[in-house]
Amino acid sequence: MSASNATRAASDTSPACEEIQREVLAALVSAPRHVNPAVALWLELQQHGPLSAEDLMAASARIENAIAQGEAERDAVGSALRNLVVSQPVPAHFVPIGF
Amino acid sequence: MVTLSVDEALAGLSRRRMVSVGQACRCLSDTLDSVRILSLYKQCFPRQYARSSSPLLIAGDDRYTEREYEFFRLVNQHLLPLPDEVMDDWPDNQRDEYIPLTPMGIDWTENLDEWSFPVQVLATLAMGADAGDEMLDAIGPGTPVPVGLGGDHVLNWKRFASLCRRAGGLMAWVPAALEVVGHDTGILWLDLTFETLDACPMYLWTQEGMRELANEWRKAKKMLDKTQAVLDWLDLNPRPLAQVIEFWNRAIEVNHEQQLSLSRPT
Repeated sequence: MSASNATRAASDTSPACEEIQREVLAALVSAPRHVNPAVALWLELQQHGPLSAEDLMAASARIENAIAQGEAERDAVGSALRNLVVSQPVPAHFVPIGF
Repeated sequence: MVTLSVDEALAGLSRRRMVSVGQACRCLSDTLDSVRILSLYKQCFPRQYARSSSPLLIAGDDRYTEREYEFFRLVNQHLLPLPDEVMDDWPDNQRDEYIPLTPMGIDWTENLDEWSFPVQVLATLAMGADAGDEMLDAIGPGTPVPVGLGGDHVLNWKRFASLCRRAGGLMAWVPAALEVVGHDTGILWLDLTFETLDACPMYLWTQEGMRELANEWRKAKKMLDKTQAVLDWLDLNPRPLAQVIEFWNRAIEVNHEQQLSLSRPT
C-alpha cells in the first residue's frame, strides 16, 4: 500500500475503512528497515575510507542511480508527510498492537 | 586493542555520522562532479595524471580537491585561461558544472579613461562616438575629425581593412586591433566583457566544451598578439592614428537603404 493511500485511509471514518487501517498498520509493522539509497551509498563511501580516482570513476553509475533514487524517495516521503499533516484525525476503533 | 589519536577518532566518528537525504545527495553530486573532472584530467593530461599523488578528498572549506586544482592549473597552462582568482571566485564559491569564463580581451567598458591612449581612440572609433578636440590634438596637428557612425553613415569594413593592409607594416593589423577593442571579433574570449558575462553561452566540463573553448583561445591569442603589437606601436607614437582616422573616413559610406526607409512614407 502506498503512503498516499495510507493517508487517505487514515482520514476515512467509515467502518469499512477499519480493515484498511489494519492493513496499513500491518504493512508498517512488517516493513523492512530501509535507508534512503543516497544516504546509504554516502555512508558506505565514507566508511570505506580513501578511494582511488579509478574506484570513484567505476562507481559513478552507482552514484548517479543513488542520487536519482534518493531524490525520488525523498520527494515521495515528503509528499506523504504533507498528506498526513493535512489529514483529518480519526479515532481508531481498535487498539493498535505493536507500537 | 587498537589505539587511536583523538583526531583519528573524531574523523572516524564523523564518517559514521548520519546525514540528511539532501546532504547525501549534495555530497554524492559533488563526488560525481569531481569524478567527471578527474576523468577529463585523465583524458587530457594522461602522463601528469598517472604521476599525480595529490589528494582526492575535499579538504576543509575547499570546493575542489587538490587533484582537481592541479588539473585546472594544467588547463590554464596548456588549453584555456583558468586563472586561480577565477577559480576562487566562480560562482558564489560553489562547485559548478560549467567551465568558468572570464573576459580576456580589452574590457574598457567601465574604465576607458584608465586604458592607454590608443585604446581610447580605437574604442571611440568602434563606438562611433565623437572624438573630442583634446584627443585629436594629442594625435597631432592636422588629424581629421572621424566621421561618426549612426544615422545614414556606415563603415565599409572591407574597404577600411584593405586601406590599412595596403599601407603595410603594423598598420595592416589595425583592423584586427579595432575588432578586439570593439569586442567584435566573433571570438568568445575577446568579445566577452564583465557586462555581457551573464548572457554568454555556458560550456559544461566535457571534452567537447573544453575543445571548443581551447580552439577559441588559440584564435584569441593570435589576435591578442597582433593587437598588443599595434597598441605598443601606437603608444610609442600616436601619429599613425591620424592615418587610421583618414582610412576610416574614406571607408565611410552613406547607407542608402537607411535613407530610403527614412524617406518612405509610413
